[in-house]
Amino acid sequence: MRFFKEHKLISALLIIIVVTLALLISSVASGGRGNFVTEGINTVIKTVTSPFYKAGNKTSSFISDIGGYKSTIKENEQLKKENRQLKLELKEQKLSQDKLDDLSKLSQALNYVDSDKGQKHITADITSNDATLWMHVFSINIGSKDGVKVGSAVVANGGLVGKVKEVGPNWSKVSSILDQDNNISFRLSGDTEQLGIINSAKDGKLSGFLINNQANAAIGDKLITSGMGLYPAGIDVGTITKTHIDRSRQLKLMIVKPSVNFNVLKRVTVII
Amino acid sequence: MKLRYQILTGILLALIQGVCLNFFGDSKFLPNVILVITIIGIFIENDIQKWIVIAWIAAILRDISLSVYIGCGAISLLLTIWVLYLLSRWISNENIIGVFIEIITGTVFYYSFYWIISVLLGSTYSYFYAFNDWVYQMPINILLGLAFYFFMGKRAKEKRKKERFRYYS
Repeated sequence: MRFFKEHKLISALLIIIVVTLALLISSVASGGRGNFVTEGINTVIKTVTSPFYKAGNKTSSFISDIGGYKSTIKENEQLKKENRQLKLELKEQKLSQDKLDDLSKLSQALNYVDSDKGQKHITADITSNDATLWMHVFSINIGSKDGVKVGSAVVANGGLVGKVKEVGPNWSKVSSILDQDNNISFRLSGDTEQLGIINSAKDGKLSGFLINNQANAAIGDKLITSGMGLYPAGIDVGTITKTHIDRSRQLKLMIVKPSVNFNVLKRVTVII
Repeated sequence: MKLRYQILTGILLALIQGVCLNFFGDSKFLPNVILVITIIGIFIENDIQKWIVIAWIAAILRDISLSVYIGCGAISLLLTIWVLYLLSRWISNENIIGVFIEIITGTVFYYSFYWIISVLLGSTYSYFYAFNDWVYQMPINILLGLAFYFFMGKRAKEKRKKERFRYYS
């Protein structure tokens, strides 16, 4: 005790270092999941800062709207062009109403149950994120009261964002696909027979491989979730930007640009 | 400052950082309020123990509310404080140039330490990719640092002056 009184700075430092290391080790060991203490602290912080959220959101939207005026006009023109093209494609690919009815009757006859029908989609706003933007963890304003559970898939604009890591009563922490050692099972959207796995991420891009190294996968091809694993089927994962064949492992490796722009994400949808 | 006020100041800093995130949204020009105030506080005042406690409380609360792993920000901040304390012998705390040097050095060291700890915990970003982010934060950290120095520095300077010349008055 005398030592602590005579050496206050060193004592304070020792206690702080020991406590911090203990918190870090327990946090890493539990995989980033909190306990009732951290949930309580989170709930208090979110409750205190949430009134500022709406004001802050409006302010930042106003400022970014002013700055992004020219790019918004350009984007608008591109979207109009894309829309015209999509309408033409839709006309070519539309099934007739009769064919749809036939398919529906067939699925009823075979007692086919659509697994997606049991899912609920809830939209949430991103209330805060890790300031460094490297760990890609952010908080949203819905939680267990809305039915969110740990492991729920999170999407935005039809693209895969990540999964829920921690849940409180009215908040959740989401860990993105760029951050975690999270294997994503995918199919090529152009050839759904071809399966692959995304198993790592670096500098904002995903990397993975196709199981069949002879598959026709080219730059620009889109990937969707296969449904085998953590995420529901059919969600956009990203676009292939680079491919090459690993001769030693006989795998077709690829670099994938995520379909979601994580730097400007404001709203997400949680699939429950 | 008594311990309970240090703890309250730390809590307040963490809340201010949380509110700042709401206002700056997804902008890259996001100030690190906890880092800047800690650097200025240590720079101006000679009470390092007080600022270590305040910074640690604020950093731990920030980690709990925003990060996956609790302790990354706190350890980075403690290491940064230690480095700045060692460098403070060569940096004058009586002028604005000293503030500039401290903020720039502090920001570089803080994010470098944070990146090292992140990599050890599984982050997949290279140093140069991460560098892109804090280059944007630097100017706003400097502006914030100068503002705090202006408000906090005057009183500390007067106090130091009185202590230095107490036998002459």
